[in-house]
Amino acid sequence: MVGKLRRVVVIADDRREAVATLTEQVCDLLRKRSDEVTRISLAAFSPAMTAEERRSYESDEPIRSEEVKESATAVKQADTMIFIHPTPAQGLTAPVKGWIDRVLVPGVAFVLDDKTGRVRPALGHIGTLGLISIDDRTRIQRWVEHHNAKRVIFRALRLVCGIRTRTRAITLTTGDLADQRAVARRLKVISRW
Amino acid sequence: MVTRTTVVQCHPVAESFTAAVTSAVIDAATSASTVPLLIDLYAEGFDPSQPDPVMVDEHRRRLNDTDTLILVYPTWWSAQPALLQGWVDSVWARDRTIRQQFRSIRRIVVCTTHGSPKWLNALEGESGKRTVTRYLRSRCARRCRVHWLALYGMDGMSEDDRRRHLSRIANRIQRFTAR
Repeated sequence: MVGKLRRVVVIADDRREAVATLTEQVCDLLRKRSDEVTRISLAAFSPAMTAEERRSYESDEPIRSEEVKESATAVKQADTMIFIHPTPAQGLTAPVKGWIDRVLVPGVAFVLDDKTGRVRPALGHIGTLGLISIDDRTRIQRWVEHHNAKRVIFRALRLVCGIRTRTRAITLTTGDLADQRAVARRLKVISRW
Repeated sequence: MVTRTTVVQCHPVAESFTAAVTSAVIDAATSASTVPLLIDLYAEGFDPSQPDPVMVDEHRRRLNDTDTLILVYPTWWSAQPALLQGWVDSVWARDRTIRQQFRSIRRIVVCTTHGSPKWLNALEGESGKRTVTRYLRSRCARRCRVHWLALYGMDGMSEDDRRRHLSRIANRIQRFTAR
């Protein structure tokens, strides 16, 4: 029997009503499966890494603030990480990139080997990496500009996870968010993550 | 003809290697025919969450008057730091209906540093490089050229290697701006 899963849901910006509703629906869906859900909203998160954090990055205490500490504790215990990410232009938005820069530091996402100086993965406990993008670009625009958010999460971040970590992605448009049937279809897929 | 060069720097630490790269770039770009202009995002207090509209307009005005754009930043998690990403999102993108363009920019030079080696960055997909070559470039002049002056595997490098990189960058920048 599969035990209770600990899910971390990171939301780039839930100030938009449609995104907040979608986030609530995703969290409710996961809670219904009696999973433990930690919701991390980045609406008030400062994305820019500070000079103090940068200077202590390779020290024993790279985490210097309480908001980062809370996120790091949740990540260390998580079985699944899901990002809900509106894409205003291309690539990751500043809040999500800032969260990755500041929270996934040595000791949380990876370990720096003192002898060889190499990076060793530390997110082997993550079973699934999920990305829910709200992206209004056309298919052609996406093909030309590339889906850089996917590249960072499914390639760079995936490299510090375990060998069996699965990657799952869903893309919605702003129009889809207003369509209950379209949202329900996506939620059905997310329920299998 | 006076060429107009804008240097955009993004690093929180003033005594970092990125700051040394910026100094080398500005020294190399300064000549009788070139006037480099520095935008230091950390020093200017750019806020990526709620960008100051006056600052955004000022940066757009400067970019409209630029022909060589030089970006200096460290690559973290295979992409630009969050502050620079926020700057791109607010200065280079308005909304879906208005496509922000800077047609005067004919050359983009990227001076970035990677802690990990090149093969690992290739495996990670180099999304930062794609942001420049596929997104920023499409908003510049039609034949805009991109020059990628990256230092890979910086974590395992000696001081001599870093100094060599600085002089290599200075030589390349002098060549670009002298044209």
